[in-house]
Amino acid sequence: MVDLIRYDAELTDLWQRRSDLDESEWHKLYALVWKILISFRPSELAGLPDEREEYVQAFFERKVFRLDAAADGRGVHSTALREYYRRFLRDRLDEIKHERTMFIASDGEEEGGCCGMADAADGGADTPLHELADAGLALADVVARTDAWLARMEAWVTPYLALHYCADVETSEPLVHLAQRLGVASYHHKAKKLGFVWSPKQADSGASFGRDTLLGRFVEKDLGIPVTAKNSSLVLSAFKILCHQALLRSDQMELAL
Amino acid sequence: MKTHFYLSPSIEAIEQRLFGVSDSLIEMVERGEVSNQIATAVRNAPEWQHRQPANQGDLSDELAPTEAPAMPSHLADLVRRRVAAQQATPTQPPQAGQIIQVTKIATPRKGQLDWVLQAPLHVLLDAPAETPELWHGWLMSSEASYASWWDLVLQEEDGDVEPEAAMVQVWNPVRLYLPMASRVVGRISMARLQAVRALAGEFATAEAPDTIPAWPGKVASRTTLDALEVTTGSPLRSDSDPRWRYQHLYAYASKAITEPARLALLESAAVTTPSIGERLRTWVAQQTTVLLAPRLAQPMSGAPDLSSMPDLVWEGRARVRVIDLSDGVTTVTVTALAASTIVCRVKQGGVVLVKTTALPSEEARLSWDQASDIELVLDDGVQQLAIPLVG
Repeated sequence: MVDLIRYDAELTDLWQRRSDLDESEWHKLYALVWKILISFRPSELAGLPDEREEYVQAFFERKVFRLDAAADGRGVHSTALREYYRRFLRDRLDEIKHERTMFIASDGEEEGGCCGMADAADGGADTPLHELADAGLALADVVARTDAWLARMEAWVTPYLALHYCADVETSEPLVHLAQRLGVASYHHKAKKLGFVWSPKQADSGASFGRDTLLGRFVEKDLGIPVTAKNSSLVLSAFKILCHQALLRSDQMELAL
Repeated sequence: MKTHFYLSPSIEAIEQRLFGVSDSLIEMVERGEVSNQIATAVRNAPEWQHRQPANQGDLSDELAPTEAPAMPSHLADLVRRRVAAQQATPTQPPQAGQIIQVTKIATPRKGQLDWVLQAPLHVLLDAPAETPELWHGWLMSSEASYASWWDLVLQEEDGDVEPEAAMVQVWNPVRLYLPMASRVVGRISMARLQAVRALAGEFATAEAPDTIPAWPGKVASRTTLDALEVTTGSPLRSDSDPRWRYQHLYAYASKAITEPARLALLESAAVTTPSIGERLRTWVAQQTTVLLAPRLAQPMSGAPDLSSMPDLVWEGRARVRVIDLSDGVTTVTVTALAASTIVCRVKQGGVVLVKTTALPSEEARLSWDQASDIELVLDDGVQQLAIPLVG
């Protein structure tokens, strides 16, 4: 039996100051919560599909980092923390019961939108191949440069692209779990830096991203395609390859974990 | 064709966080810190039945605790952003552009609103409202995957901001009663506030373009009509879009902010009502075609005592009665005299809030929420009369 009482003083202190902790204190609280919960094996874990480490991590993010207004300024002890964790696991069990894949009718508008990549993963890559070949770009070379670019990016970029911008494919469903592990949803504050722009029609805007963005530099510097209205079709073809590779790479990341 | 999309967290988790029975609420009930009505509701919830420890059937004896691995990078990033936001915002509220965290309900008089806030709410301050204790602003939220065309998603170049306040719901404007402000958790620049205002202005006057399809989960940049860059989600389209439910949840959650403000406004209006009469008397004294007239008795009207507020008579054209009702809505009646047809408009800062027409010898009624800078404009087709009702 783990002696929980020895954690209580530090836990209570950090917990009740959650609104004002500094960075090192947050890391201390994370380590403390981990120690208290990782050794705890409530029966609810048996009905859940993932490893217990992931639930401890998710609990920290959703119940410790995200503040509870009604608990503002109050402390907690280790035994109570474990009960919070148990209730959290019960909520996860309920969520799994209600979890459903969400679909939305797109009314044939998939060519519009922010990036026009809806059909990128349909396997119908003939048009991009022709476009790129006509411009003197070999497919193998574009794929290699795309892979190299994705490999250079931070870990969130590939699943973020795959899930939010290359959707529309059944195969993206397993990526949900990868996205949860990587906290992909918390990276929307970097969307502008990545570079997508809402545009009614790809062809009207020349390109659906800003030039001075990660994607803009990828197209111009890594692929050597100037971002101009004249090249909009070529840029879209390059995007389709990027989308395809992001999905493939995400699948591999998911399998590797 | 159907498009698959992934939104995180799930809408059920969001609803649970905003309105479910949290661990802290259960403890508040156990400590007797909530009203009987809330306590009864909590005791009837499944969470209350589950509150007792269920040690029976746990998987096995405990394992030896292991050292924690390094915090995952996305979580470390959230921590860094929160701490940076705290360090960057030492100023006291209220100031335009500040992001205010609200953790507790406060009302002008104790117990006016029986509500326990489960999750902190956040408000971006825009400008002072009718009284020193009220500010205009917009509700903010953390779930940027649910961003619509009218949600501005803050970007890292906008400065250090609490991650729980990731986007501004310009479709969800609020008045904040300042005693509810718990702490300042971020601040955006005046330039970015201008972009929020521009987007809010477009929301009030324009529709999302038909040319952009609904694409839940995607966030991208665009420019407002004033050429200010904003990052938003896509428009809402079909009924199956979960962002409708998301907006419904936050529209309801915002009542925890707007209701105390409404109560405060009501208190303020009650204090200042006599000054409306004074203002009108001063104004009438400067007019040549408007007179004050004793209020005609209306024994069955059910209206409050209005004896201190005389009617205004626009000679030969209309009779105007100003009524302050106790629920915070101001009502004016306009009776067209003789053969006059009177078009009546209530304007705030030049913008028409309400418009109606009083036919000859008939009464028209106009109502609006208490607000500042209100004038009633009467038009008989030949002349106009602008009456400054509220300064």
